[in-house]
Amino acid sequence: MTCIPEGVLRAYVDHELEPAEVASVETHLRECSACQTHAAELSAARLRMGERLGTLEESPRSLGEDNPQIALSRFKANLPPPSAPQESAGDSLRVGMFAGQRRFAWAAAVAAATLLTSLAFPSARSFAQRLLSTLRIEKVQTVTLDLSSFDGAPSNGKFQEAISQMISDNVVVTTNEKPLPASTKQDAASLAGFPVRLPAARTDAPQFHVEGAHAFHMTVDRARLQDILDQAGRTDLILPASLDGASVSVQIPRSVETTYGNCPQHQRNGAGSSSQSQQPTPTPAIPSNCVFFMQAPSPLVNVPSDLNLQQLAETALQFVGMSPTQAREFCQTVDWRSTLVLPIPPSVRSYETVTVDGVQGTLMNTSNHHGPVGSSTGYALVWVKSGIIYALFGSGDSSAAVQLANSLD
Amino acid sequence: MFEGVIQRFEPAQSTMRDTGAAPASLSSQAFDELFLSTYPRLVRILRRMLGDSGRAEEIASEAFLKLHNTKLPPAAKANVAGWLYRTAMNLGIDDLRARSRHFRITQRATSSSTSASTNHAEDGLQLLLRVERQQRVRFVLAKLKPNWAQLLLLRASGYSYKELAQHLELAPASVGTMLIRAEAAFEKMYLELFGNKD
Repeated sequence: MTCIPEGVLRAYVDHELEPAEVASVETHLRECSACQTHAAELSAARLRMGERLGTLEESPRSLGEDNPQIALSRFKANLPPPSAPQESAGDSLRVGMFAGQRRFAWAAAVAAATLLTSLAFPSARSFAQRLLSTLRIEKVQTVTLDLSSFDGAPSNGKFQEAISQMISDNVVVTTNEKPLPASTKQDAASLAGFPVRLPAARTDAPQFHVEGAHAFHMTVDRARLQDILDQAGRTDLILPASLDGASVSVQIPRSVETTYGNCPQHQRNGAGSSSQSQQPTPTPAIPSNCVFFMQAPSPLVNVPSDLNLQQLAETALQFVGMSPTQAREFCQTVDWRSTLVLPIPPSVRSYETVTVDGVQGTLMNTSNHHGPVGSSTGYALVWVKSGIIYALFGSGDSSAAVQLANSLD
Repeated sequence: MFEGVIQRFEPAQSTMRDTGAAPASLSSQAFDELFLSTYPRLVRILRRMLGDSGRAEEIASEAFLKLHNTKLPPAAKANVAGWLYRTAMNLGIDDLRARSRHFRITQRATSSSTSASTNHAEDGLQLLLRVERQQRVRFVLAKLKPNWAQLLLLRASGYSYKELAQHLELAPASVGTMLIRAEAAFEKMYLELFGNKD
C-alpha cells in the first residue's frame, strides 16, 4: 500500500481537495495508521502556524483599504509629471556594457563574469565597516560547462523578472562613458591610459575604437538571491547568511579594440538595437581577412576580505550545471581572487592551453559564427599579461592566432 | 558566446524617474480596474505583515507605481496580478527586514517595560505581551526566505491553493508541499530564536 504524498495530505487537511480526492484519501486513511499519524501531525502544524500568524490580525484597517477609489485618486495625484526619459541604472549598464557594440566572447565573458561576480559575491555591510579586498584578473582558466540546464531554467519569465527587478532596484551606475573615437595608436593609448600594442604580422592599416569606462556598485540582498535560486528550481543551493545587506563595487576601465580587414560594421554601431529581444542576436560570419584584437585592463571588483569566494563559486557553478563534486574539485584548483574563469560551452569544438606572448593563454577553436563566410571554423585566443586582458578573434586556422599574438610589439 | 546569459540580466525598465502619464504595460482603464480590485487586498496583507496601516498603504502604492512605470516582460503580462502581489510582498518584506534590525532593541525595551508594569492593570500587560508576540512573528517572517514568507502570509490571509498558485506562480500540485516546508522553516527559526515562547 502506497502512502499518500504529504502535499496531498496537507491539501486534505486544508480542505483543498476535490470531493473525489477527499473520498480517496479518507479510504486510504481508514487503512493506514502511518498516514493517519502524518495527517494529525500536519494538522497540528497547521494549527500552530495559524495561532502564530493569527496574532498579526489586529492592526487597524486603513482608509485606502476601505475606500480604494480614494486611494486611486490619491495615487494619480501623486504621480510625477511626465519627464524626459532617463536611463535607469540597469539600462545604463546594459547600454554601456552589452548593447551589441562588441559582442564577442571575451568581452561577454569578462562582463558576465563581472556581473555574476557582482550578483553572487557577498561584500561588506558597508564599505566603512569591513575591510575590502580587490579582485584583479591576472590569469585565465577554462571550465567546461553544459549550459543547457542553465539556459533552460532561467528562461522562464519569473526568473528573468526577479533578476531584472533586483538589478533595477540595487545597481547604481556611477560611471558610464560612451565609446571614444581614435584614429591612431597614439590616440588610442592616450585615451585608454595604457600602452596599446599591435601585431607586427598584420601590415594593413587597423581601425581603433576605445570603449568607455564603466563603474557601478550594488547591494546584495541575500534573501532575494536565494529566492531567485528557488524560483529557478535550485532549492538545493544555499547562499551564506553573510550575504545579507552586503554591497560590492565594480570598475571597468577603458579598453581598446583594434580591427583589421573587412569586419562587419554592425558590430560597433549597436547601441542596443536588440536590447528588447528575448533571444540572443546571432553574430554574423566574420570575413576571412577580419581580425579583432582587444586589450583591456582588468576590471576591479571590491569585495570584503573575509569573503569565502570558493564557497560562492561552487554555488554558482552548481547553478549553471555542475555537480557538487565537480564544482568543489574545480574550485579547489582556482584562485578566485585573480582568475578569469572562461566557461567553455559545447559550441567550442576544442580548446587548449598555449604559450602566447610569453605567458599561458587559452586558444579556443570555434565551429560557429566566428568563422569566415563560407567556412565554419574560427578561433578565440585569450590571455592576461601585466594586468591587461588580451583577446584575439579571427577565422581559419587557429595556429595563425598564436603567430599573430607572438608578433605583438 | 555568452550573449544569451547576459541578456537574461537585462533589467526591467522600472524606475520612478521614468514616470509618464500613461501606464507602461496596461491601458489606463485596465490599470484602474486592477488598482480598485487589488489595492485593498494588498493593503490588508501588508497591514498584517507590517502592523502599520500607513506604511502598508505606502508600500501598496509603491508596488502600483512600479507597475505603472514598468514595461513588463511577456511572461509577466500574462499574470499582472501575480506580478503585483509578488512585488508588493517583496517590498513589504524588505521593509520588515529593515525594521527587524531594531527588533532586539525594542524587545529589550518592551521586556523592561513589562517588568515595570507588574503593578499596572492586567489589560496593559496583556497588550504588551501581544505586541511582543507580534514582533516575534514578524522578526521570523523577515528572516525567512521571501517566497516562504509570502506563501505563509497569503495562506493566513485566507487565499486558496488555486490563488496561491496563481499569485506566486507555483505548480498547483506543489502548494501543499510548499506550505509544509514553509511552516517547518518558520517553526525551526522561531524555536531557534525564541524557544518555546508562544
